[in-house]
Amino acid sequence: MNTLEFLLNGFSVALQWQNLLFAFFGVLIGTAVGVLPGIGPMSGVALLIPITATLTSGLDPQSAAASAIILLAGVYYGAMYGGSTTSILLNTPGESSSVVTALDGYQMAKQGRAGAALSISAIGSFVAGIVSLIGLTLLAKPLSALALSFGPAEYFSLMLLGLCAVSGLAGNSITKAMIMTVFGLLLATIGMDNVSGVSRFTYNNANLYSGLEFLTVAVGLFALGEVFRTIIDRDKENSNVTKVGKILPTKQDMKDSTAPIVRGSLLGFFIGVLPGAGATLASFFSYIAEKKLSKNPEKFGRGAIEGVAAPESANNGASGGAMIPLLTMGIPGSGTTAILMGALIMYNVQPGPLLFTDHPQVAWGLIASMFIGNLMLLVLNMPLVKVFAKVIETPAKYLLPIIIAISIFGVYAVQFNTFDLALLLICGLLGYALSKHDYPVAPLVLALVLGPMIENNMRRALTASNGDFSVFLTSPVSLIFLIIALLWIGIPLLMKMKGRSVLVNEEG
Amino acid sequence: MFIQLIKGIFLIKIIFFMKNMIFIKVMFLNFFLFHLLVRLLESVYIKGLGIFGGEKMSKTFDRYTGIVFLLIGVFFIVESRKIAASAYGSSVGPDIFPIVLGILLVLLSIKLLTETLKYRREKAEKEKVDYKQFGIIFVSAVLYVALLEPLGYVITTFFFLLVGFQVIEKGSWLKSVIIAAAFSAGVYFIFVQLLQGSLPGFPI
Repeated sequence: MNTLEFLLNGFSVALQWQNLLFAFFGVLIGTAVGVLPGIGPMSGVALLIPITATLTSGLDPQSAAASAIILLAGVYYGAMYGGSTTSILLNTPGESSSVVTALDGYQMAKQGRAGAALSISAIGSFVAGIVSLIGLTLLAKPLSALALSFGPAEYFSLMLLGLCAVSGLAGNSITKAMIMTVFGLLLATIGMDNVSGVSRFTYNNANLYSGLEFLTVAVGLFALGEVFRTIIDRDKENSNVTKVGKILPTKQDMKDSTAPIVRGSLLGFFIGVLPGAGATLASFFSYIAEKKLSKNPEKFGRGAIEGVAAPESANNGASGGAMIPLLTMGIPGSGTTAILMGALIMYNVQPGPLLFTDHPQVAWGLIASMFIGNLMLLVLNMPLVKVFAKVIETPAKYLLPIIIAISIFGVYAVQFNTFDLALLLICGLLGYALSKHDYPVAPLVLALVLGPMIENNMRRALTASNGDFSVFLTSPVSLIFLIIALLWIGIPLLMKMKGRSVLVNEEG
Repeated sequence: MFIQLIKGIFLIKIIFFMKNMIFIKVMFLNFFLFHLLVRLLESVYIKGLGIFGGEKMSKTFDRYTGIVFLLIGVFFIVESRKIAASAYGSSVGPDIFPIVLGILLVLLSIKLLTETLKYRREKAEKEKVDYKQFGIIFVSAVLYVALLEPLGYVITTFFFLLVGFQVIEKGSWLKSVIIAAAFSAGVYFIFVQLLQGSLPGFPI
């Protein structure tokens, strides 16, 4: 079967009525998550895992996994659409990848062009979504074929590269990011060792035998951490929402933003594919590129539509691109994709090269559903922009306690014990304290997900080589990965030593 | 004729495979070069934009976390040595990975601690933080978690939400009561009745 046939099969999965419904709710909730302050794509996806788990409990394992991942991915890219709304109308980005959008978007809103800015960002997001999906479709087969040829040594080095890339770009201090990564890997060793069956660091506590539950930690660190931060650091002024005004962009707007949208999509896609460099970096970068390319750069910051179109396309392109390493190699490149990977593992679906042969229903169903979901978002966002603008006015008073209640409900519904709830609250505190002091939590979650796999591959490689560590250096592919990993950490360090500030990816 | 056809297909497949390999190599190289370019460019332009300006560094917090992570590292090293070492005659037992990580964590914590020495003096910037509000909500969350099983989902959730709503912003009690009741009863009904899930019900 060729790619097109697989894709058509994927569409037959994605067009089943329950999956259409899942995709619809995914993108709808995602847009709301992007709009609401205090809840970002990472916590949104983490919070919805338990809910999808209960919704899909009646289905057979394969279709349950497909439906669940369709919904969760919908939340992920839906949030990219929604994030722009608050940037433009309120000058407060709903999530970090829309920070740059606020620069010109809010200015446009002040000039009464909010509707045009919102619809251009929806159109840009749509184009970027489709571009990155075409890329994903074309690259899926060759990349997974390549990854299939890797042995344990190569896999170990590749995962190490993934971790280094994420910690190299997360936060201002690489030391802190590395500490979080290593800490996450250590937490991953708690529980029954699945090679030898020996229990490690469990101290006869029955709750620890299966290890720290990834879901609990992720919901605690991201969702609760964010809510706690909003409660503590919230400013109490009420900001005014700008009126949306006329929705359709003018012909001139369309003409001005076509090229930035195309450039932003491509740039975003390629940045998204790189591990570690997520949507925030992509949007940032495309803004800089547009400013550089523009004939009159002084327009930027004063309501240039290019400054809205390019970053909004880029962040959506990046979120599509980020699915590539996750699906084809099983290496998540960011916090959100790490959570998606954790969700797939919960359904006994291992992302990676075998995903496309073992679970074509899941892999291609997801890809096809993303085409549909992007179309839904475009259709939803153009007329409903005013409705979503209303969502911003949800009072924090009701929102924050309800998010806490949903976190607790979600964890309890999946885990059925108070131990995990206690762990959840502790992780919430940790998430707040750590991210407040610039310790990035995304690498920790990534390490927690990748930890068992890194260890297994390392031990399989070492067992095959009789404990000889040079096996990681003698395989050329593995050596290349390790060198890149080293450079990834080393170059920013060098640049910092030269006194240059380095852009970091705050979304993770 | 048939054999020739198969040969032809095979040849095409081989050529295709090689093309793929070259394509992938070029792509990897491109990504890498592109990334370096990104790095160089951003280092030049980032100052002009000045968004990620403020450095958030707290000397005391970083000192404490440095020490805590150091202790965690030591703990994992010491405890790993107690794990039964050998597994299936392999030289690589279940203790190696945590030991190596523990050592890494210790080294990184020491690096963090030495870095805190170089921090510029903290600006005495009084942040307006509201720990009292947060304290009440956190304590009620702890109580919520502790009482969830004995008192059941609906009652605990209702009271937790009511307290939460009123603590964050004092307002109409009636509205708070209605929303809290609707949420707790709604979630319980949908989850237990419609989705056949299980949640602690009511105290008997």
